[in-house]
Amino acid sequence: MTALTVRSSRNQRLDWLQRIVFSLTFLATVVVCVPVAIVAVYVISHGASAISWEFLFSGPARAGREGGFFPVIVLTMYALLLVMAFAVPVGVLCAVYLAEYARPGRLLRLINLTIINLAGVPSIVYGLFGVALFFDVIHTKQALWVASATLAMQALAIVITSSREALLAITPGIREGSLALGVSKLRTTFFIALPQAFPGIITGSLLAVSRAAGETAPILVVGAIAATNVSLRPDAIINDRPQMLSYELYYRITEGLGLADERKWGLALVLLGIVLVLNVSALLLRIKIQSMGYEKRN
Amino acid sequence: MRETTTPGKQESRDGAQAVGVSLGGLPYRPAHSAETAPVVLRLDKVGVSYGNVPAVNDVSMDIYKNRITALIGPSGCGKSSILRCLNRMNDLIHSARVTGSVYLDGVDINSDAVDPVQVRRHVGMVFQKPNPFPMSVRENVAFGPKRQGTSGRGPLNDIVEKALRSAALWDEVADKMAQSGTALSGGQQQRLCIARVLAVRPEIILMDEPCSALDPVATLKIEDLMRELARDYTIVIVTHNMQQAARVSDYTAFMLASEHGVNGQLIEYGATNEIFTNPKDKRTEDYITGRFG
Ligand SMILES: Nc1ncnc2c1ncn2[C@@H]1O[C@H](COP(=O)(O)OP(=O)(O)OP(=O)(O)O)[C@@H](O)[C@H]1O
Ligand SMILES: [Mg+2]
Repeated sequence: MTALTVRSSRNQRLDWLQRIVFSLTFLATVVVCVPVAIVAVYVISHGASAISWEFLFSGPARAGREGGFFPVIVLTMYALLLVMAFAVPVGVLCAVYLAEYARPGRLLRLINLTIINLAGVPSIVYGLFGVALFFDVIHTKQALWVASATLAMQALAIVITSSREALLAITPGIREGSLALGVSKLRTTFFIALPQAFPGIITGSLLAVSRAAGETAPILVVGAIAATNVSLRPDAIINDRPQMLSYELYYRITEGLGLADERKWGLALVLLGIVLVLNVSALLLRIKIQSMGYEKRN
Repeated sequence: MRETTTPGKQESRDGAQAVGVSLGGLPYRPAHSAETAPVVLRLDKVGVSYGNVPAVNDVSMDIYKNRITALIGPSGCGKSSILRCLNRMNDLIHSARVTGSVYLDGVDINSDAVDPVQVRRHVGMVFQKPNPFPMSVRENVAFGPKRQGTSGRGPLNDIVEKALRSAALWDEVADKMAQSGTALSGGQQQRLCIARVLAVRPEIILMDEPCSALDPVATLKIEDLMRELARDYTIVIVTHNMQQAARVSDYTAFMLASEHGVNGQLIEYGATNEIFTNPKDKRTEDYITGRFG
């Protein structure tokens, strides 16, 4: 038996290497987190004073210089619900097909690659495509629906990829265990695979929707073409030009005049708040589902 | 499958056994001349290939009711591949091709008319790595019966308790029914997986190295359990552990591949005590005496 070796110079060098690599990874994390924090703090400090009951829950006056942005906020929520209603069911079904049923092979690899690429297509392209499809081919004038469907197309790619990953991450032995009991593939998918993948699917869906909340380009294109005289709003909300938050913000900033800076930051803060609420609820839901386990289910 | 077997068929097979004539072109080969139990599974020239590589071929053997049959042989000789043919689990592997026939109570389970889901209700399987569902102990066992249409707390509780008792697990988990199945010890998890299979009342239970992830004490428990279960069930077990095959099985099949993973073959099949004390084939002898890879 030899005693524990005293640290050699080689060991010490490795030690240093470890520390340097560790520091680099830590630094990278800081580099990522700090700007996010700065943006959040900046938006809050500049916009918080604009937020009031009136700002959130009443209609605009004097072209938005006074009053609030209630129609815009409601319309945004409305559009996001539509995005979720379009993208989540279709996306999850598609993921189930890709993960559980499709035969592995070149075609499947190609499809997967295409879907990943879909998530990376610039959103303005979706906007143009949406306009072409819905206004020129389908001839609808419902701008809210068109904007939501366009955003949903983009969200779809994220929903599919994250749901597919969640399904593929399940221990494969569990599926076999169910099939070996004489349980059909469909029931195995429904009672074993989907419940297991549920947290991942929820998280992916909420993230996809929260991203849709911030998209400006598709709305811009749809809005530019549709908003001239088409009502882009649920009927209950009467206003001369309601828009989604992201576009309203863009419009107010580029308009250049009229609106007090504070009110623009206030708008940004509301948008940020919606995205944050979506992301945090994704996180909380995930934790809740995981801690709930399956004990209480019957 | 049992329902689809006509009494006439049953008779003709027993008759064939009695006189030792061929059945469906197959010469009848008793694994053990004194065997009186009926044949529940008959493998006729079964082979499996993956892609274009034949992993194992030409395996013909009879498996007897309420007996424990062990498949032994070096790694890669195709034991798992053959075992998975017995409940159509190879259907799940896209590259796998199965040839030959497997008769379950006289019906070829590979024929197009047979639903693999039905086959698996008659032939359950326990895997090498315990794979409890991430649900409560109770739900793990109730899962199969529920999916097959049993409902109501009372009937399900009865099934669950019975299955857990048969799997020699009840005493250990009676007060943990609501706990997650994945929180049990490895040996308990494996017995939970056995209970899960018992709850759907199969005729045959396949076990692919069920003890290889367990410690010796847990292994002995499962072996005792297997002997116990053989009263009501037919068991086919793949094992790397020759002592285990010798301890637990009534019949042993020795398989061997010409090279790793290619052209596995059934070398010798017979009563376990004969295989271990008086092997007919030199290669069997080499393997069981440990003079082999
Ligand atoms: N899913 C698969 N895809 C491709 N080839 C496979 C697959 N499963 C098995 N094989 C091939 O078939 C051969 C036999 O495999 P099998 O698992 O039946 O052997 P085994 O006797 O059970 O081995 P072990 O004792 O190591 O479990 C393997 O060596 C491998 O080459
Ligand atoms: Mg194996």
